[in-house]
Amino acid sequence: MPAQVFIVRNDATAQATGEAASAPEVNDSALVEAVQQGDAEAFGGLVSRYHGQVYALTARMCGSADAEDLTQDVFLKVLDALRQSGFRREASFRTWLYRIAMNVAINELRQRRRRQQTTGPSLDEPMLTEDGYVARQLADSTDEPYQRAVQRELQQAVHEVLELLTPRQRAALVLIDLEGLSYEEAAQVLSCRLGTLKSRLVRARRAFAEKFRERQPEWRPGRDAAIA
Amino acid sequence: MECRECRERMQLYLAEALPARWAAAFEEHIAQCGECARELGSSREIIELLQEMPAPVPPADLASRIKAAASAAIIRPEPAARRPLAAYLKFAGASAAALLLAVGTLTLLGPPGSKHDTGGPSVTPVAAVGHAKSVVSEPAALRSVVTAVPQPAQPALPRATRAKPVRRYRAVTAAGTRRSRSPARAVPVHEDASTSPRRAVTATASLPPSSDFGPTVVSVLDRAPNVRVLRTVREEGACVPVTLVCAALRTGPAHASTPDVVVPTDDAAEDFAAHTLIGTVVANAVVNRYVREALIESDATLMSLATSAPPPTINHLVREDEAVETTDGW
Repeated sequence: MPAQVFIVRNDATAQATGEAASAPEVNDSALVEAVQQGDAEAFGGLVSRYHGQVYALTARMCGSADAEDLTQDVFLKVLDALRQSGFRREASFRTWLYRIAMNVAINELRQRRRRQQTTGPSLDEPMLTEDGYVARQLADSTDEPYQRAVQRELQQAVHEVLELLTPRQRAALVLIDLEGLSYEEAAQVLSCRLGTLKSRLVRARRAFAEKFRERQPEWRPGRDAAIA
Repeated sequence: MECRECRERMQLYLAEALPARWAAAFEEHIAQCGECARELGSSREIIELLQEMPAPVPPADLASRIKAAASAAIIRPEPAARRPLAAYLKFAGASAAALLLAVGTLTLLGPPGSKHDTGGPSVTPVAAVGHAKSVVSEPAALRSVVTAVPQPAQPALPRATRAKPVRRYRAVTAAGTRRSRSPARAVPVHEDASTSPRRAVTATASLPPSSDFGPTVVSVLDRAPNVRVLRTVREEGACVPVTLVCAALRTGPAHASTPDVVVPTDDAAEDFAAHTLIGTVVANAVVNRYVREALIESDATLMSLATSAPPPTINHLVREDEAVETTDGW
């Protein structure tokens, strides 16, 4: 596939013009094929197209502090795998990418847990308390509007409760409820059967609901501000 | 259906995982029970809360930084595809990430042995080795252990530019191995057997002082037919790693053709760095192989990526400058 076919646009431009969600000019398969033939520009196209989704996934799994590094790790693994013909098209590129991202994220969580056991807490990482992981926070002196503060509080609560779940439960919840993947696609990402995925999701939702209600006993969807 | 059953099956219902034979009864109960209906509504609202969470937005320059890092990776001189061992070790780092190999030492065992030795490694059956457990005394045959020298710590680099370790040895799979046309370039597996017929490689692996990981590794190593855990040293202190000494012994005539480890024998004795590397590689191979199996048993999902491209079985380690021709083409 000739390199000049691909148009790799600047991300800032794409975001500024609201084109991030527009239909891709070249499908993923063509870009993947070009990358496998050594076209670096085509890889840039994949990065432009998916870095936001990978960032969101890693941020939701591991927190935003490490999401940039993890996103970069994911794409370097993807590049490495594509150059070794590691992508065998048994699933869509997006599913395969999510699978790599999820593995990177879960590995990060495991390493983080080991570091917690071995070296004690880092000032940059969430703090493990009796109530689970709690992000270290600094007082915000800005005079935010009330609604925005409520939204941030709710987002923070969701994030904290997510961190209380096991990596598997969190993965199921993030893929299905936060990322909006279909059951079938999420099962492919996690390399498990559909039934297994659903049972994990059930446990994850149950655990999330229980912990969220403990964390936010006053929360009512109609009372608090809409998040979106 | 009672309320208790209804609550138990509520999340199944919401996940579309409730069998049809129960779904009708569930819906019938919800239609009649206000409390369960409210509970169902509350559960739905929490799911909707998650679904409405805004996606984290990456920094504007993240894509360009990734592209720059990718460009740097592309111009690296040696593609990873040409390093099967690298792929193996990469997996090892991911799956048994806690396994930090610090030092490897090369040990020569015992006097020349039987005539088997002229054709390959000595006979050291598993039964003769005994059922080594986590702490055993060193055998008398293990007459010398080179002093362990910690490898210098690598300076921390940004992830994108972190240097790949130089690997001077490569693994050769049994299926992919073919003897060199030039015997002089072949791996000296048999050539020096008369002078050093009995050989073991002892490796020291540093494990994190997790409460359970070290013993787990020891237990899986004990299942390995050609590995002995000679001793484990666990020092007190939160940050001091467990030290595990294991020996990969070549056992039995069958290993004459497919030894686990081939040690270069020409000038290797003077090349302690090579010894260290070999020890590290051996430890990687033998430890991670069995740790990996244990991990796969316990967590098939997380290992799926790795199992989709299983690492080669390491039968030989050869020096790169003495590379043999293989069907893999390197």
